[in-house]
Amino acid sequence: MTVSDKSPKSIGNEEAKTFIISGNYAAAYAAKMARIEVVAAYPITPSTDCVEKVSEFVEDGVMGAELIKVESEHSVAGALIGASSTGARTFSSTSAHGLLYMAELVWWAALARLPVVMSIVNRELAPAWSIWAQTQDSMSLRDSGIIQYYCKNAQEVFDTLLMAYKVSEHEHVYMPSLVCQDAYILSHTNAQVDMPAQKDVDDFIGTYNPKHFILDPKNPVTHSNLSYPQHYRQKRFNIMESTHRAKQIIKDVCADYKKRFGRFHGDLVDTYGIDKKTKHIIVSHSSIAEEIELSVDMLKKKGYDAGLIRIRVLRPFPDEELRELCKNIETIHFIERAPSYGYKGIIAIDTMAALFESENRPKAFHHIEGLSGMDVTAEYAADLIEKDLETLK
Amino acid sequence: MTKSNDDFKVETWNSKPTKGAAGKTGLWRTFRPIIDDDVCTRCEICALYCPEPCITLNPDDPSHEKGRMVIEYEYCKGCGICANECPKHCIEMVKETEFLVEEEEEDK
Repeated sequence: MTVSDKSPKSIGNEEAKTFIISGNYAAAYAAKMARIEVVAAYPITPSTDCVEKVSEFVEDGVMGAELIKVESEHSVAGALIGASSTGARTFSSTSAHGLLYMAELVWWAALARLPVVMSIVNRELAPAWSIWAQTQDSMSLRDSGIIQYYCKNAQEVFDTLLMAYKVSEHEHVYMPSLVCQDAYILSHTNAQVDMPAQKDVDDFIGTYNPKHFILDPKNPVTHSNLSYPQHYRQKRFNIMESTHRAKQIIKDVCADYKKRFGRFHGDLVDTYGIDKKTKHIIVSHSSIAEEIELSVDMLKKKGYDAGLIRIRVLRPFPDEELRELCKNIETIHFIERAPSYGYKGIIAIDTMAALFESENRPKAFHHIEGLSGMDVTAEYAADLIEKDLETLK
Repeated sequence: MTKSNDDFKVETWNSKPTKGAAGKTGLWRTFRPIIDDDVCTRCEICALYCPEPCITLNPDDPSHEKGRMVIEYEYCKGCGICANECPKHCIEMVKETEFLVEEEEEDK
């Protein structure tokens, strides 16, 4: 914690409350209750509502964060990197081109080991201009080391943001996080969000006390000076170790959250309808996955032993968990929003690589669906799976 | 909760300001600044502009009442800013190869 030993104020959430709010507002409330110290923002559709709400909180005096208005998303990340380097807890929210404009500094935050946390509203990239959901914006940054969570509803956005601070600020991690939600489907749709009392959130999340490095005028250091190959290699392997360790830390934090607040959205993966009999697994992500839960029920009624894996954390990737869940299945069906052009869906690529190390290699079917926020209904998804399975008859 | 039950530590690049943190940068030099001590007024403009900084005034040198300007060649990269800024134009940038012959002869 920087500047003073007093946490920034957060007024209005003294008691546990239930709100009917959008995913963007859920993120803003989570930022307020996490007592973030610095927020920088350059609003972009469809994440605008989040930083608008945060600036409203700050203006109303119910949130004690320092709000920095900057001239671009690149500067947003720059401001957050500077603030986080002094030991401040930081936050912002952006989308699509905003995120890609700050891409260089997303890598910087990750490689500098700064636990910046951002709420990302996944939006399709231009051209042509589109403002609807697609996850390529954040998924294209998956190699940077940044931890990425993909949420299925507004409640999960709120809970995951609090958990993200806890994970990112863990002394073995110190990596930034993106907490992602689908444009409009979550960001602008009002839904029930239960919020715990501020005191309980404070107990859970604690304060950020960096042990690895801090910018302090009383103890000047040069950070990230020219580094020769041997040192560079050592620090990069340190990042690999930290991001691998983050898997267990995410599981622990999710379990702790469940114990304290009674809510659990899965840890690295979320599953639905998987049991010993499951022969067909659908792998999906974000809000599509919540809809596909209904498809699983439909398929089961028709006699298919179907189940769902929702990739909740894309990095670090849950490879061991996938091998365990898929060890006895016959087919695996990917329904995802984000293609890697020239290959397959981004989640399919990673999942298939994980299963390559497995004894059991199920037959795979790939579907890129829901581009530009197109509706993927439960019926439509169930139909896709049924057609996949018919080809095997 | 996972606590630090082993020696693993997150490592970052933090260096304290120290002499020659990036190695002997004098090896980068192509031109060597040579000060003509007879013309030099010891105004210290060169020391002020040297970005490294590796020009200092040695006040104890008897060659002049103010002392003598000393260049630390182990770290001078030969950028030539001192020669450019010198109001007396008494710093000459000499090709390193010329000293190579001299130094070889010294070695013999």
